[in-house]
Amino acid sequence: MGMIEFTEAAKRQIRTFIEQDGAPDLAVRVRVANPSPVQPQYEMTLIELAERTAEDESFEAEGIPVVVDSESARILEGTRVDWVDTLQESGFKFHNPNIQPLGSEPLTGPLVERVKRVIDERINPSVAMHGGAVSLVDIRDNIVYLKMSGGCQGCGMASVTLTQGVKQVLHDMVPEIVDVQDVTDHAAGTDPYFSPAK
Amino acid sequence: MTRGDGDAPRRRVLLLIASSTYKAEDFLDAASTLGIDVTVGSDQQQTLAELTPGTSLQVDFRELDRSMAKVLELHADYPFAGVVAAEDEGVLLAAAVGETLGLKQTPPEAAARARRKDFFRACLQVAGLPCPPFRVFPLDADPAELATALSRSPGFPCVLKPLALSAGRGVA
Repeated sequence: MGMIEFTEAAKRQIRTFIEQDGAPDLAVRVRVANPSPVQPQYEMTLIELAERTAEDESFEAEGIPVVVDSESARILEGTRVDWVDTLQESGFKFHNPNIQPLGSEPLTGPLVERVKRVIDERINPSVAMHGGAVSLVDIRDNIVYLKMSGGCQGCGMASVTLTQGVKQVLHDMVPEIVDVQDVTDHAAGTDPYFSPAK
Repeated sequence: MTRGDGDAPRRRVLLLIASSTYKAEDFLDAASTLGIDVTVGSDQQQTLAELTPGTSLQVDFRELDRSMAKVLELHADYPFAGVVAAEDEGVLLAAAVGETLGLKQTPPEAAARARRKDFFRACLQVAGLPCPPFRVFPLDADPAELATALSRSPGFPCVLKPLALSAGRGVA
């Protein structure tokens, strides 16, 4: 068994694609296009086996040659790939144990405490004047992921508050933070302080 | 002025956006991609303005002189290398700031004409360029009189638009 497990549905679909292509000696290249915990992106493409490079890792999944670059291989270890075909979605679905959903682990540690303190003591008292609030969702690789709620959720100026305010304050107070990303579902906001005109 | 990793000072742009904007994120993302610092000038005070001096400025798009004074005051500490209006609300102030600071911008007179749909159409007519027929009615026009007037030339069908605003806002 390789680093990636393909379900029967996934293998069936890959074989179909290979048959439709018709070329001999085809392999499936699997690549992690973006390992973001917010929305990881994967790519699966058919390549000719001759396109393999010395840096690639390769294995067979019941007769299907699979090629993975070394960086993707590290991230894909233990991943299960399924094929889904429903009214809502159609395509390969990756279940990757190495990319945990945001907030899936308890938030602890000195960096978390410092960021929380800045949010609670510096940011939220001001944001509250617009009926909003900011909460910490996760910190990964010194990137802060946060959610906005209340008047900030769906607000036309939320990105201004984030970029011109929250990011600046966090960078000033916790310099090792390299980025701040907003993972709020702004479309679900019901009481934005400033309603976008469109 | 903040500096990046290199020695070159980062440039700062004054971005004028209305609080009803839906474009802020796109403009701020673009500035980030280009490595440009931004001061957001808007008609409402930003929530964290007091904690982050230079990043935002409250202006009144209808009060050009007063707003210009605030822009110039901030410009002394945070020099602007450019000014951009995201919506038509800010184009007059952007043009005035551009002219005063010697920045690339639409001339104020052109901005004033372009912002008003009736002025702009009149310019097209004077220049002999194609332009749909139009008439201007006051906001408090009697709907019955307006309908009667419209029933004559150029007549229906017609589009009812506000004199300003963009992106289909206020259009019926």
